[in-house]
Amino acid sequence: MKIVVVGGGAAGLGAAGAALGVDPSAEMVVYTQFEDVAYSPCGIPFVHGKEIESFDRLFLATKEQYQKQGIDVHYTTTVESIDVKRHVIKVAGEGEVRYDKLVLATGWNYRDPNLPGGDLKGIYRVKNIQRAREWDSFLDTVKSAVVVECGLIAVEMVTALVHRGIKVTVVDPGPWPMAEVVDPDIVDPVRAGWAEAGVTTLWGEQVTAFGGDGTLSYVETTAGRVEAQLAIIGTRKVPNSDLARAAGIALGGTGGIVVDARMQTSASDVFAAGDCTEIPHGVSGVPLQGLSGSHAYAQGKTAGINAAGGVREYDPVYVPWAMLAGEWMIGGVSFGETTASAVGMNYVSGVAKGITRARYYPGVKPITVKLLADPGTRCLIGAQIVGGEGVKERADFLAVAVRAGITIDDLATMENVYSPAIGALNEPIQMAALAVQQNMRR
Amino acid sequence: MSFSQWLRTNSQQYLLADAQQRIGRKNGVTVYGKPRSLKDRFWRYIFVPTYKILPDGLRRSLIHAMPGSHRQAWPKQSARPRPPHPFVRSNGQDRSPKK
Repeated sequence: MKIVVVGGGAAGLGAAGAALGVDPSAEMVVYTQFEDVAYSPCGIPFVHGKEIESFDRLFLATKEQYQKQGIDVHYTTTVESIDVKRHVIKVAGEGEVRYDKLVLATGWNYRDPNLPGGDLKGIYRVKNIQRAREWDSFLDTVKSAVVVECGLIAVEMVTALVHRGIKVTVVDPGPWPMAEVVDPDIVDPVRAGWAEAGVTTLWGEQVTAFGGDGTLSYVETTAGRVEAQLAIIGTRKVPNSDLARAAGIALGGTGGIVVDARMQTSASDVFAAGDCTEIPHGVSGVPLQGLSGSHAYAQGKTAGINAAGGVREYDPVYVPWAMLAGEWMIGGVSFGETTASAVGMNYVSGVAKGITRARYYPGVKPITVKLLADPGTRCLIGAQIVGGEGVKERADFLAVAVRAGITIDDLATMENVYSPAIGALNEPIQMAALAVQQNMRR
Repeated sequence: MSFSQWLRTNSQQYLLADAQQRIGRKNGVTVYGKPRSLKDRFWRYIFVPTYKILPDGLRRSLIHAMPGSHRQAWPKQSARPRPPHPFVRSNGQDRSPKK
């Protein structure tokens, strides 16, 4: 059996590896338009910020390791079209290539802001590791930068640029950072931290043009001109689903490829995984697109296993997420108040401020947990967290709680670890659940 | 762009903007944004208020009717509510959550 994978990111390589696990005799070919496969693009801001010393550290495996595994990766190779009826793809420089099963893992792009001057040098989309190497030395020459919209990678880039001593201006049409996913009270410490670090923020404003003579020297915004040698594009992730669309494969309202729990698309023997797809949200059922690398990897494995003749199902998602934003960790699960209100979900929320270790233990940090519950079922439907540490673990735990239908009453009576160096007497999740119970009685 | 993509893009943008305004206000954050065009006015003053007054069931049906992955076969969500916890703590006392 010949399995062809288009895309060499977490989903593509996850699919290839998992398929070979089911059928080691399968012929496995991966096509990628890039020079490398399977690295962590989310790690790029941390190399720019000098927390990680080298881009080489971001690779999950060497090219030789994939070869040894039996994965034939074709680098810098573009797949031009798919003929789903004939089970054939057209590859630049190779002609027609037959497949028995095809996995599409074509990933995402930044939404194009489509602004005048968009072709000037100095406009950076953080994604490709080889380009990132080139941009890293350029950063040494930059005095001031503009971040165009404040998505998750852009937030990490703000920190990286501040670490490099670059003056940063954030321009975002939203009213606060990451306003599509985070509530204002939760992101407030991040805003305050940026202000302390000298970051200028223009919320509710838009970039209208890039200017300069061949190279960027200023950015025009609705609030006036900002001098900058660098612009970081931080617009929303959009699915790279053009190849699928051209092949007649069904796309959903997000523009992502429609898949079922087996990651099967509308075309026979064609699977899809990662950011090019859309996956239903576990609570609302609304399809979501543009999730994390861990989602892409798990979806890739599901697609690969099914493509190779195995059986695996992927579940609707509850989207635990967390990240470093300046000196703070911020994260959440499923809904925040803003997103729940936008969809029209009924909810009752409760907030608790706590600490991450015993109050006397060195390194103790503040943490705030907000929980949202459905007043009808009392089930947890979402959470948001900001703190100095311990955010990722709480987000993971709460995602399982939402998925399992744990109620606010379960959480209000939960047991918790107490150990001075790693956990305080009162667990902020439990305190927030008590606050929700109290608010439900009002 | 298909109709469903057009609808999803615009409805998401304007429903979020409306929610940001409400949640922002609640948290003391001033949210700017006067309508800039006729399109802005339609989505803000006609679509969003209409969506908000629709009964929850109808809203869900409309969302479900749109093409997308949610209409394919997916594992069912675990039963909700789970059997309720026997007690709710209130003013230092435990009592049934139903009371």
